[in-house]
Amino acid sequence: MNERTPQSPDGAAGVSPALDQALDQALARSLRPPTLSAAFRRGLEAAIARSGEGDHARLRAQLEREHRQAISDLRSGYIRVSRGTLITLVAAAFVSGIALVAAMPWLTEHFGPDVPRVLAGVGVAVAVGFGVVAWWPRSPFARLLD
Amino acid sequence: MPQTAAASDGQRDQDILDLLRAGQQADAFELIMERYEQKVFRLCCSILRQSDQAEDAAQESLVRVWRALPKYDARASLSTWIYAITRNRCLTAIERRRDLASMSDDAVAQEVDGLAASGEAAPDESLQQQLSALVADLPERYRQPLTLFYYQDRSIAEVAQMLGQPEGTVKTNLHRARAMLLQRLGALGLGDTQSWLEAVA
Repeated sequence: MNERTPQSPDGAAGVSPALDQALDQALARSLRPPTLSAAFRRGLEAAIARSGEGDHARLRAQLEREHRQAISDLRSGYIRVSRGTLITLVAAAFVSGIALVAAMPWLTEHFGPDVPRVLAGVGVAVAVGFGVVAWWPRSPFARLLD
Repeated sequence: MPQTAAASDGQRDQDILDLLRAGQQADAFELIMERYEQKVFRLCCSILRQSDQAEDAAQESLVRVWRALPKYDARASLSTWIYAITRNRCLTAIERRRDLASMSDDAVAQEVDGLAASGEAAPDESLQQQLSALVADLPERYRQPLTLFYYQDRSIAEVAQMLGQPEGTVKTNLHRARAMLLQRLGALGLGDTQSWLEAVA
């Protein structure tokens, strides 16, 4: 093939232009562009809709997983806090008992028969103090001051 | 990648990119369908050969395009990106249905034997089928550009972009495909090859 036909991308060497052109036209006739079926667009739209449903399902499953994880974390945290509180209370009662036994002679010497009332007053004051300290950060007054 | 084809496509697809930037994904996809639906299907046909499989692959490719559209970053031209997705889907389809991917070697051999036996007496329709069978028997690297070349109205730039190859490679493969076809036609002993081809056309 010494020269290109207008249709041919590149003629084959040693092939006459007429043969090259005949091949080109025969190929053009045999290799006609395929056409999509009429239902293609409908099928595609349905597939896209289905893929969207898949997205929603995946998102929902992920949110449910995260929710379950958060609940589980909250529960384990609550149990840990409850256990800590109980241990603190027992330890505080034990230390208070020892401190009371140690301080009783001194208390009796100074307050005489009023020792029970003094101890009750001190207990109430300490309880109120703890209560205020625990309540203050969540109170509206603290938010106002912030 | 052919630079000229990519550049002109980049300019042509600017309206699609503008729609994407404006968050109008549905409108952008509608334009993509108008411009690329047929081309994606033809690319699938050239790779998978069978139109039902090609239609499935085209559908899967376009669903992928739809889903990935919000993440498209315009680093490659839109057409290059769409064709790359399509080629990947076709390769996946071939792996998934390897035994159905193409006409079997036995079937091709039977077709070619039939061609040799029938000679010039066959009607035109049959001659076209026989030529198609010869094309189907070509190695993939020649068959794909050759079929796409005629599907795409003899545009080498378009074929190069669809296959993700340089234009020079496509030209070379087209040249070899045609030479191989002529050689095989000659070897079939059809008499005058040119008259046979003219009867096909």
